[in-house]
Amino acid sequence: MKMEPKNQYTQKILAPVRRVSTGDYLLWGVLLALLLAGLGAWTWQFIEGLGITGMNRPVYWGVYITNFVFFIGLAHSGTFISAILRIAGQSWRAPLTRAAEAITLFSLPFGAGSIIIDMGHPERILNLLFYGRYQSPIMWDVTAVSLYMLSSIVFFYFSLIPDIAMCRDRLTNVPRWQHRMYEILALGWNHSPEQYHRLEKVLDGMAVFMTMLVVTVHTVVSWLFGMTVQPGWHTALIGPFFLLGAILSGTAAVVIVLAVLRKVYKLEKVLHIGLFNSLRKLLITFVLGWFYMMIAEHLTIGYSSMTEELIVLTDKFSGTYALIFWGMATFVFGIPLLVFIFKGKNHIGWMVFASVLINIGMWMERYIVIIPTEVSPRMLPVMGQGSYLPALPEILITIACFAGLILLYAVFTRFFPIVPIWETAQELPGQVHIPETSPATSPAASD
Amino acid sequence: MDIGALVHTFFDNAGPGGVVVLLVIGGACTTYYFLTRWIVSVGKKNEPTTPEEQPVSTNA
Repeated sequence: MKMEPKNQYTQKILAPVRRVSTGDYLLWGVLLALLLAGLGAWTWQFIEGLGITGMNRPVYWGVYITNFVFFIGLAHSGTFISAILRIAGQSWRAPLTRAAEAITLFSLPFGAGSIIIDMGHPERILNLLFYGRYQSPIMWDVTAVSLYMLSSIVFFYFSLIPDIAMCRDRLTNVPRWQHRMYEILALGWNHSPEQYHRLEKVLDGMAVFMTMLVVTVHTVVSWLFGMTVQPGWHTALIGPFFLLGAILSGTAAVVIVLAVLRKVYKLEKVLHIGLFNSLRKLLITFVLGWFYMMIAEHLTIGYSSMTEELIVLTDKFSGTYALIFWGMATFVFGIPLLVFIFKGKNHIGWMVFASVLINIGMWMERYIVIIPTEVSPRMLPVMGQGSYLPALPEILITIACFAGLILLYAVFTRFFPIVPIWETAQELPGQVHIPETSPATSPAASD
Repeated sequence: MDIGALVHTFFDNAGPGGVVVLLVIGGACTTYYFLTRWIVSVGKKNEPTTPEEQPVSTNA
């Protein structure tokens, strides 16, 4: 008898992989057009130089760096759901691990890519390899982000192998090239109990490593700012503040993605309401944690009453950037907290609404951390007061980054199962494995 | 041997930074390659060798 994980939802999970619809091609076409528009803008910037962007002296960092921090933060969703909750033994997370990890996988290239776009000429990245000094936080970033990207790909791929093997064995009506792709990527997986045993062992070990990486990466990203002696940035709190914000936006992104997948691919039974209720509790905790960090950060800076710090702080609280600052606070904290507490339970629509607000707010937060300091830097009389508004190429490239992320995600879900079949299986070859994934058994459902 | 001078040289000179990046990424690639081999290798030993032992395709 053929050995395979026994999962009552296998057919349902594999259904989206069986065929690509006209609607898919239409969506991919639109997203590809946006991506190409961004590529065009990048070419324009490559030819004309960074002078065509809104960046100027002393505003050397604009929306590209905002995007960098935002996308790297978004990428923390997968590691948080898969690695940290794995270590914590939270078995309810099983159905949503791949959906979360895919966000990590597809947002990281746009995060890392934003740095290269910001350099103006991409070949300048080679200067880091040939002439890099390890005293520079940029080198720490290159090391951490590259390792995180590589490890995320491997972590994602490892947990995908058994399901690719199932695609190879079950999907024989797909185009020949697609079947060949499954054959190659499955690496000869034959669902033997020992293979599953080793896979679980490696994934457990990697989960610990990935947890360390996730903390390192966003801390190092924050040190790009923290290590410069600039108002608003030079604080030890910036590392944990960035990290918490990243996990908050990543978890909110998982809610959005799960809701879309559930609706579009009719996965209501697999991605049940209990998962959203569990994520709701996590999000309430993260929103409150983020608010605590927000107060700690601004109170520490403001209480010192140092002239340079106060200029930036006043700009945020009641000056040029007040609208963005208070808008951000409302989007990330005010509205979502009320929604999660009073409306979110058992209501996916409200959860998605709050999660979208959180992500818009977190992008604004990244912007508000970077721009006011750049506009009013240290030694203001020498550097001069700056001003910044994103120019057309920056806007087009930003839209292209989001379109690219959605495009990669949408294409992936049509070729690979987005819910892990083996991890949600009732029984694995050679062992009985009963994950708490159904509403009846999940503690999440009893929320 | 002046360890302090060595550390200072490492941090303050152009070049070693790139080597560290390459070493870290190269080391990770090698580790992941062998991990992948280790996971899948056990299955290959148990693979059926005769046509009679081949699993039946369940074309869904």
